[in-house]
Amino acid sequence: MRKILEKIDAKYAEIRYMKIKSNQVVVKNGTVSAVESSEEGGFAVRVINGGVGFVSTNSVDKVAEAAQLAEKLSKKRDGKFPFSQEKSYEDFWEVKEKRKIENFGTEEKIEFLMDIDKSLSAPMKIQFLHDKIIKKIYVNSEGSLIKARIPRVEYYYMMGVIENGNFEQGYRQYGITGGYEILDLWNFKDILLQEEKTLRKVVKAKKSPEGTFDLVVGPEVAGIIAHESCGHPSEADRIMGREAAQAGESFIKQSMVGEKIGSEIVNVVDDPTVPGSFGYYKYDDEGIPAKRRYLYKEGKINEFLHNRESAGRMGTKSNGAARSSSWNREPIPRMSTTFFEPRDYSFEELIEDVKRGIYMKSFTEWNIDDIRYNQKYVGKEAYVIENGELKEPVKRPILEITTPGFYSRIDAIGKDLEFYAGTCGKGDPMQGVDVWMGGPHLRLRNIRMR
Amino acid sequence: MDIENLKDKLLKMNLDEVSLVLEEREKRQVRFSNNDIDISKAWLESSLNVFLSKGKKVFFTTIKQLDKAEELLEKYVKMIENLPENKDFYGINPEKQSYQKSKIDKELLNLDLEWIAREAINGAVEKGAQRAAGVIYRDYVKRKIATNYNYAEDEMANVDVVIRAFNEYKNAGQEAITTANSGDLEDPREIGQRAGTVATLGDNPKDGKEGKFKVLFHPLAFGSLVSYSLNLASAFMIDSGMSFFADKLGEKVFSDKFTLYDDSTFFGSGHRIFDEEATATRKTVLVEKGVVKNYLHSYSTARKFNTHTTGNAGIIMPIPWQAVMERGNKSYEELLSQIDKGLFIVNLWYTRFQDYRNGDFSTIPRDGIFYVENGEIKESWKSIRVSENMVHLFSNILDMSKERIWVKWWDEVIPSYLPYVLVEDVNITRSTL
Repeated sequence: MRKILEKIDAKYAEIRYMKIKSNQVVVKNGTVSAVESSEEGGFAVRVINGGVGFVSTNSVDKVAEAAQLAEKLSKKRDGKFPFSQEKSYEDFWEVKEKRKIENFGTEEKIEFLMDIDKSLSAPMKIQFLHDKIIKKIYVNSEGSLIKARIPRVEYYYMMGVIENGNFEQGYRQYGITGGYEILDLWNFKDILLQEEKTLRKVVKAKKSPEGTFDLVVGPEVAGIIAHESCGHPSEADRIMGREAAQAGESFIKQSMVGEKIGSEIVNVVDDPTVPGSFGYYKYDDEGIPAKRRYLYKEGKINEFLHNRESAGRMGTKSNGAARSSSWNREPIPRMSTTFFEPRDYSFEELIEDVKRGIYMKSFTEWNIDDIRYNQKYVGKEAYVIENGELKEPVKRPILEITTPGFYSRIDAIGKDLEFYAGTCGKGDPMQGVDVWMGGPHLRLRNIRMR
Repeated sequence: MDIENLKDKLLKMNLDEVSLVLEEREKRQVRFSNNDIDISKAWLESSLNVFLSKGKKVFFTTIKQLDKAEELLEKYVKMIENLPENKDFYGINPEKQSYQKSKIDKELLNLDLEWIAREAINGAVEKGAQRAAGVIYRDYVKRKIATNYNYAEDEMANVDVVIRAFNEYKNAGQEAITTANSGDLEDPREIGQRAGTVATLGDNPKDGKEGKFKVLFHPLAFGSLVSYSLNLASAFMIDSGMSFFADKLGEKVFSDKFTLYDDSTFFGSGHRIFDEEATATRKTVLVEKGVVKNYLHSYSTARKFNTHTTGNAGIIMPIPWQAVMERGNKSYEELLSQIDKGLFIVNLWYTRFQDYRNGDFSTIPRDGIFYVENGEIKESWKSIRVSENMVHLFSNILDMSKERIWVKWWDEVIPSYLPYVLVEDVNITRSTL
């Protein structure tokens, strides 16, 4: 790879090799719907001159051709293209599985999923169990050479129950960077049995009342909010407009660092170094060491997520947020594990002085506009709070709120911290990357709910 | 790679059925933002989609290391012995197929994509946009399939042009077209002009209002609703119960104005002549005058549902290829004139369901939200949401335009040929803090 790199006429060039070995089993309503296994590998060459050229191929024989073509494409634009200059590194890093992926065979996976399926009486249930081992080699014209081995396992389910013509659905994703120790971290059978119980309770519940309430959201809801309305708008490529025709832009401008976005007790972090996290990495896909980043700090906009391109354009250094979902995708600024930092309230303390409130423990439908300002979250498991006590379950409370509206009404933050997995979509072609999102319980005052 | 030879080798390894799809692909992309090109990309890729079965035991994979294909396949053949039976599997299509002739406009392969990008940008700026972002895509694929029962080859090329133009208030207009005909791309500047015109018309938008409105959806916006719906018309989703089409076959549940097809025989970007089990593709009526007529099937799901395959077999589940909606008799302007107090919405994004079974969802308008009074655009809005039910929305279709446009976009809009669609009683909500 280095020999090919040396022949490229470029201000900056890199070659990435990635090999992904993956397996998936799908069980739907008592039937093994699919058993899949795949191995793929390929190279991506990125060359910077007056413009940027990117070519990928899955044929070893075509890497030199790809490099030549990338150089040619990089010269189709005549101008300046300031990628940030960074230190070079040579390293190998890996995450070791406690329970090796290779040792958990297809039959065991099927048995595991079918056992859960049989324990449920819900009429609609789909489960996916997916594992992969990613091997990477990264070289660039600044002298970096980084090799990595990254195992990941994820579990996903969808479930639906019907009672008297009413329907409720649930779905959730769990994932780690590691091996089948994921089964020691979460008892999925218990989780799904509990989910079925919850859905059967909610399907009979009354619609959540409309009006102004204090709102307590659970870690799952806090996580999606941290991801959608802090992580995404802090991505520097969005702020610069590079994603404008796809995933959108940001309400944050480059000049807004230091501006107030919410209550001063709020810190939101993106941290790729959380051990075992689904989006864990030691170096990003541009060879920059990973580090913890405070996106919102003490209620203020604090830091953006950068790759070399966005950092160069903004006249700063990369903070190691470049990720590429596969060998045929360019590295762009992405989240890893995005979460509200916990503080000191117990759940009981959070609700004890709530006279009239809603507790939204988990969510179902959600969306947010393309500048990450107006958002909606619909509760899945939710309860009324009255005079400091949890009361009856309610169906699908709706929170429609702006980003500063949400963050500025947070008046207390729990001391608990939970993470949930997700596959974050961005880029063109689409790049789904593995992430965690989470937080503690949060309390907000005087929120309009539907 | 000789896939017929490979298929024969596999069948000698004690398998019952094999489907191999070889795809050789050359893709090009130019991305731009802030009126300038950000990156030029190319992909030189080949892949082999593999389906193997022995009795009711089935295995899927996609091999992207073709030099290791035989070695990997030997490993997978051994795996199949230990798999459980899939009781929903009834074999791949054994009937001899007769295919449409493959069709390709090779002029598309000679187009200068960077030139198209620059022309589109210039067009948007000419119409008053301050800046434009977008993507030009070209996909050229040669596809071969070999099964126990059939062999076919296809060759296809298409180009997508997406441009989002912004005015001084950061309000946007967007065009997202797709085509398999080079003639549609003779004047890319005009595509940019359309996006620029909408952006300029958008001016400084006001906060929108909540309520029930008559809404004229641009084909791009309606493409989002149709694309999500077609995915839920897959027999896999019907079988899971997670679809608002479930248990509705033969019932009139939508407006009698609503007729929707999955039609990959129509020459457009979603054109293809065979599915993943070599069934010849066809035009499938999903909804006819409001009546649910069919679901999307592979041979296996069709057997389970006691019907015929629709030629939509994907790797795991039946998938849609290309949406085509029946048009009306009136022009876009005539439809707009039928709105006393309502909205014209150009694009939607981030569609999510809280209830797949009944169709409760919400989605966010963007790239042109206009309040219309007495048939005329009065003002531009922002920050609203369509909070609706898909059955209710499709039931309230009043009319469609006679014009249809090819649309396809990043946020889950599959290649679609659609009219402008007028819908009444659409629920609009917004953030309250």
